[in-house]
Amino acid sequence: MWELEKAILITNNDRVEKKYKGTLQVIFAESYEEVLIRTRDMVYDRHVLLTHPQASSLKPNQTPYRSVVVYPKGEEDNTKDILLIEKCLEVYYQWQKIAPAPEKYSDKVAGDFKTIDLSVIDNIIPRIV
Amino acid sequence: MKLELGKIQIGDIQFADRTYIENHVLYVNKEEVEKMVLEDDKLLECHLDIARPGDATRITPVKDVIEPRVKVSGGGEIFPGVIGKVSPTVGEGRTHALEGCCVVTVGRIVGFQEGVIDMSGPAADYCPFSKTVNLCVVIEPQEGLETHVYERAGRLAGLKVATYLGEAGKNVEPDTLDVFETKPVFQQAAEYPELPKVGYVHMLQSQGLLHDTYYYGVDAKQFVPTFMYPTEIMDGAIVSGNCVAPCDKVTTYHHLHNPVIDECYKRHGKEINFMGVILTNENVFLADKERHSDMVAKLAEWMELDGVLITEEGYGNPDTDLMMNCRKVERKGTKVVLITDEFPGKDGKSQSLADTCDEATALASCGQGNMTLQFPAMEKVIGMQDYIESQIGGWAGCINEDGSFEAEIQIIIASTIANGFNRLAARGY
Repeated sequence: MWELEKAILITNNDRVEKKYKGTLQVIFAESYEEVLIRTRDMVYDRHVLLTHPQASSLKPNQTPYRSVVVYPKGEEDNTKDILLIEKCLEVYYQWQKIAPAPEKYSDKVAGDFKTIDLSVIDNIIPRIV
Repeated sequence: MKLELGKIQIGDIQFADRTYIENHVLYVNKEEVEKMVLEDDKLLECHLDIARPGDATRITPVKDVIEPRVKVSGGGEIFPGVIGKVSPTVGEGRTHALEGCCVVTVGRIVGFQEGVIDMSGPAADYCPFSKTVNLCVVIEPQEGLETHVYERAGRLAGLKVATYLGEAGKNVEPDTLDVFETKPVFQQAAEYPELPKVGYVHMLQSQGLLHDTYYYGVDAKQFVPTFMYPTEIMDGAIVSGNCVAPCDKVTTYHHLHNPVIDECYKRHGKEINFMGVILTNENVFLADKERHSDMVAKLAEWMELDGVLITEEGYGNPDTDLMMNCRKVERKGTKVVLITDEFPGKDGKSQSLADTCDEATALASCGQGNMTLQFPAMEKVIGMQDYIESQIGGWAGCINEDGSFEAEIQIIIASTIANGFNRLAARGY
């Protein structure tokens, strides 16, 4: 149904980038917010979402890392993808208003957030077949 | 499938030279339990402690909470596929539960850590485990372990201890005995033809590392939606591996004590015909979400359900599964009521869920997790408070030198649990 080489991974997690940059196209973003914005731009430019942009139950102001996989939409209608990414951005800003994400976590905490984000992508990649 | 659930009321736990139950007191051989936990070479240290309701004690970071149970008859073993043998299936015969006491697994899992249980004070009102006598299993991992390896070791340690304690209740006469029965689908439908057929769509957290749940030992993200007899769940066929969202974490205890199942059985044969559980998961891959919500709707139609209750675990992308299940089940002609908690900001005025759909017209709220609370200093801490600021619900600077802190009630284990096993649930009178 899908070809991995056509999928695009958008991430601000260097561990995800390092592990998958030879496997599929990877766009590296500087922040969680930028991941969502780049994803939104891709979806408006004829892509569909393969993963939910809010993967994992960590609230958007808790984890600093996010990885999303998109795919060229072909003939498919992607209205629902547009609505979903816009909703995710809205929820992201809502949570920043509740309490802004910490600017810097300790290396240990940041490392654990990266591990969780990486595990989500590790589970996804074998599904893109 | 018919299960007799005998409850042995436990009023206290005390350490002793052997493990047994007498006059509602659970006596525990501390050394034997610690030795059993340390048989796992992933764990460096283990010590046990007891926390009682009313104590000036705080337990944190908490990984899981488990009620000790034991199979007395009917085949199968508690926590099948994880601690007990995977076959035969559980849910039949007789089971004894040590009611009123819990095993609480405590220790650092990852840097941002898990939740808090206060045995007294204002936060105790929000947590069911402030009212149980808790045997805390405090564990310390070997250095340099991968997170998933240590998470597994911690998960198994708690389940092993609970299974060991449950054995002490095997030959004890229970204080109460309740009988639960769900028949095969055609027989069950025929039993109460005049009553509405109601099912329960039970969504398991299954998004990846530290977000997992296990069904007969299978990682929940690996199965497709299936049918379960509710009594299987009472025998530990589902165990928790979720350790990131304290307030709406469904601990293994909550699987054993699922309030939706309990309430449906109370009304079974009176107001409703409780047909059973449709078990599903919460995946990250959008194709899985679409496929599995289609299958949930198909099962609801196949069972000719008039209504379903749906619960989720977590916030964010599970809300999308919740809404997909709601929309598709409603479109098959089955009425849906959603049960969930809310994250609408401190003032409660923002949108509560991360996703919505037109068909979501009936929802029972289990409270909102963004509300803040003052946590007083406690005389004793089981575990450590080193991580409060980075625990979910805390923030930089939220803790004071004396150990008191301010945090959102998200930090309290099960404070807004999204299946209604809490005090913030809406109830009809």
